[in-house]
Amino acid sequence: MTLSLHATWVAAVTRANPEIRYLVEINDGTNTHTAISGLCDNFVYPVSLRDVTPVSSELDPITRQTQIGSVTLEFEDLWLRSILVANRLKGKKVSIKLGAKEVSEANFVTTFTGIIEKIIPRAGNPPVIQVQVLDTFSWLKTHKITGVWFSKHPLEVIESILTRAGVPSSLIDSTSFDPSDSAYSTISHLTVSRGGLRGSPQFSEGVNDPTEARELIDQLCELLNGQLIVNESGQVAFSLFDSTAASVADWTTDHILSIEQEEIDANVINRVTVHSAKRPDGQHGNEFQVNYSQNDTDSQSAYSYPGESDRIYEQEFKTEWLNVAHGNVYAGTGAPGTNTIGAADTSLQLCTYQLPAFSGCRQAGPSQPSDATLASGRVAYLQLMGGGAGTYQTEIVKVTAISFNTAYKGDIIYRDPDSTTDTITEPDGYIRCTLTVQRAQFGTTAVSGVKTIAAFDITVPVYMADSRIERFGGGAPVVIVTTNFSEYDKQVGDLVTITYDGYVSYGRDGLTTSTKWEIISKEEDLFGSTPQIRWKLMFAGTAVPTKTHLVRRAANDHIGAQMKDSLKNTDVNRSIVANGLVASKVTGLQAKLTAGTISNGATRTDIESDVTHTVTASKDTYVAVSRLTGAVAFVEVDNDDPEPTAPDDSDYVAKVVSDGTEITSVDTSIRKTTAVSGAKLLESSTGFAQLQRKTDFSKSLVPNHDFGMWSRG
Amino acid sequence: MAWSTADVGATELALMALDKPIISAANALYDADAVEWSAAGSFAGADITLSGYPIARAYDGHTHLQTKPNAAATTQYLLFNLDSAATDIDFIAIMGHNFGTIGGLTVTAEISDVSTFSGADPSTKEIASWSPGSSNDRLIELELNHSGSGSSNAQRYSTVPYFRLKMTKVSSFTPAIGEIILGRRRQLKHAPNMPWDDKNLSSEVRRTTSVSGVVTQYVFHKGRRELEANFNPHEVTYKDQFETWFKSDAAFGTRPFIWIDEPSTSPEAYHLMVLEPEFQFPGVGPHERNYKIKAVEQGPHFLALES
Repeated sequence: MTLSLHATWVAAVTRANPEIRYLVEINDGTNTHTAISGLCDNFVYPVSLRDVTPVSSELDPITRQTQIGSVTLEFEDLWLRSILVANRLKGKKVSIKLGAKEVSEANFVTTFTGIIEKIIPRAGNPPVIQVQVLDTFSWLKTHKITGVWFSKHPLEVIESILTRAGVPSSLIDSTSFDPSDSAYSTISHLTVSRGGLRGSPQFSEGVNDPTEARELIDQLCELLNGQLIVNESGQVAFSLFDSTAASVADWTTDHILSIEQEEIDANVINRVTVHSAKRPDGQHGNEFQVNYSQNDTDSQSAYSYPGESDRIYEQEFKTEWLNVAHGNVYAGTGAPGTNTIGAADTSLQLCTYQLPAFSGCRQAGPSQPSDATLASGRVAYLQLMGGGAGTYQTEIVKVTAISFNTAYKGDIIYRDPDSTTDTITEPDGYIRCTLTVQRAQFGTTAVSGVKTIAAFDITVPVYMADSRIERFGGGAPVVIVTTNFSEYDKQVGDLVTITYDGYVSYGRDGLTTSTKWEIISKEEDLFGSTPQIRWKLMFAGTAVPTKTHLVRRAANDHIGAQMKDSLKNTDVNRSIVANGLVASKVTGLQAKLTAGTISNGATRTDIESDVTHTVTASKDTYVAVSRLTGAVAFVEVDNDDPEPTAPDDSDYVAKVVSDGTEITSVDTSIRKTTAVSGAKLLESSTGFAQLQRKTDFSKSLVPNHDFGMWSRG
Repeated sequence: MAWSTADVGATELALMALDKPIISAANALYDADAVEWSAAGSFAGADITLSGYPIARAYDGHTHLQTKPNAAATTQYLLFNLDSAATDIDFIAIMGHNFGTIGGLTVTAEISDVSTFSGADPSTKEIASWSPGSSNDRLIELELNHSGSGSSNAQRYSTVPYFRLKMTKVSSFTPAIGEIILGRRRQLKHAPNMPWDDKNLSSEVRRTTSVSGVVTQYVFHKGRRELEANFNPHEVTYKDQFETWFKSDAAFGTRPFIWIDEPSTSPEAYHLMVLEPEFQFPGVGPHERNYKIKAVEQGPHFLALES
């Protein structure tokens, strides 16, 4: 977004003989010391600022990381000396403002805000003192934070991180971080989370280890395809890349001091892969469970070697901000788990305590913000994976509407690494909903024949892939342009057009206003031999090419599925309770499952804290624990209905029966604590005796499975 | 030691009347022992200098670094203990002030033998006064005098112990001053040799030119006086004058100096100059020597920019 500059500023700086001034404020924590680079008509400060090294900012258009770096200021020794003697200035705040001789102080524009890092006196004629200042963004790298965020828009998380990192609220442009702002109308439904649910360690924990605030913010900017900027008031703000935005200027030969082209086929990306849903440490190789790829086949073909069919230029992204957004999908009608999902179903049920972590379900509850919902232009995507009967199925569905079942709510309780009580509770979140879906998206095949299947939110990966493929499929050339300071109000992230006959690239002989360029670098140099601003511009046009999509699962899941099908608690209990996980009644309709450990035969998963749950009256509630993730699910059926199919990769550890007012019984006998059942042992013992008598060699103590499968777990 | 006074020499005054240039690098404030802003006008009172705006700025050779008191008042004093200054004083110049912004000020310069500047003490005398009105332009007084001097001629004061600047207005105000010079003139006998450019001005610009030829000039400063003045003194008095001026007054060319083109016609049109720190004084005749003063005007308050 361009800087908002006062009319007097614009008039003073854009004329043929501008008398530009820098104004620097050093805040020592108590007082502000101000110096300027030249006399001003409307205010008086020491003219003791001798030099400002070029102030530059640069944006990586693919990852959206913004770098501003450092600035070195040079002051008269005579002015700064007494201030330096009286105050420790390292670590203190500096603001650099730009204006002109006739501009009032209030209308000077902040060009840089930062922290003093180094102070170096230089003897000479005259003696000067150099002050090196790091920008706010660099400072964020020195601040490490921990935290959990559940069911938040990425913008909300960025603002939270800035605050946790110590950025004063006065330096944050809160409006730009508000997902309800009209600028974000097509992405306000996006939702991210970083947090481990208490008692149910998820695919990944929250940010438990102190992590650079800047690193976390960069991850979120990458998701959103936007970047942090500093506005004219020195505040940190967010700016979203929007190729449809109007250009803020058309630079012609009147504006351009020089122009230079870089490689014309740079930055080609014709495949984007987004890895998400990462397993926690120690589980299944710590892999990303969901791996979504999008291909621009037009580009792959266009760049292929003669005789070859394609050439791939891939960009990969990895994100842990979607780890929590998974659950189970059921048929759209009937109690979850009772009906079979049909290939033509346009309605599905999604049930999970992590429901608010899904895009379109942010803050799913009685007070869900309207901007958090799906709407025209705001859809969600789920990747369904799993299946039974020996058949692995995967499908991408588009979700166009979500209807929450308001009867089913649950407290979301999760670990807080900053809290001594170890929990944060989000009350009354909806945990069940009905989805209106379009099936078999992107060339996938509709799932059918199962009563439930795992679902992962891939709305953000699709968004990330779309934004990169559509921009970089044909490459994104770069040009370097210099202008004078009359173009100062343009900022990194803004779009401009260039009218210039000398340009050449594929499909373009000269440039006109029909081609937009994104400013990815801005370097201002007032005190050099030629005062100028040096801009780096990257092609900003987008086009929707021919696309193909690919979803790949983590390697271990394939093996797990095969093993599950053949060994699912039939011959041997593949999943056992190693300890704990005992369900009991607390009072009324409230039940409790104690902490414990579940094993899948190869690895153990801890449920570290007790889980409490209020069951629905007049229901049989089956308590399921995932042997892969430790997730606890409560599957309800009407009293005396058959036991429902357990969620994928989960086993029941208890059945809680309730009447109209309270829990009447808790059956823990379905909790399996041994790999081989007693009946099997009894049968085997007969067989063993027979073996000993050498009368029947067909009996064996345990199923004689392939050793290799055992070793894989 | 008490202050004393004498007429500025008749020859000097006559040359001044003929608008021969004056140069001066001596500033009695360099001898100051104690300096402070005061509400009471006496060294017996408290120092009210605003922290961060030290008094030393009043005589540091810069006009843009100001000193000021820490509170507004209807009468403000700037006190100097000159420790019976070794430097004589025959003019006072004030630059980089805000008197015009304040408006309605009366500014007076006073000397005294007592640190209290007691009016009852006969040594306390007003030697100059100004009414700047609404102007922030530089001030100067080349004809110092006090009541009871017994002479109408400009006076030269010696061994002045205490000096103060007094500023008054009916309403409270906070003055700011960039530079004060309590100077001792060196009256030159002749104007510089021809060719002599007393109008030489320069500006600092950096130029950019677009592809289509649009030129933009970034102005860093403008209207700076550049001085290159040649002299050929042959009398001992004037040869010694240049040498003393360079070595003693200007501390071998390291201190700024005042240059006045026409001290009689336009005394206020004086420049604060920065000298090339080199003294070349070759003999060019039996008694004649050649000396070139090369200097640039001290910024940022250039005379050419004043009204």
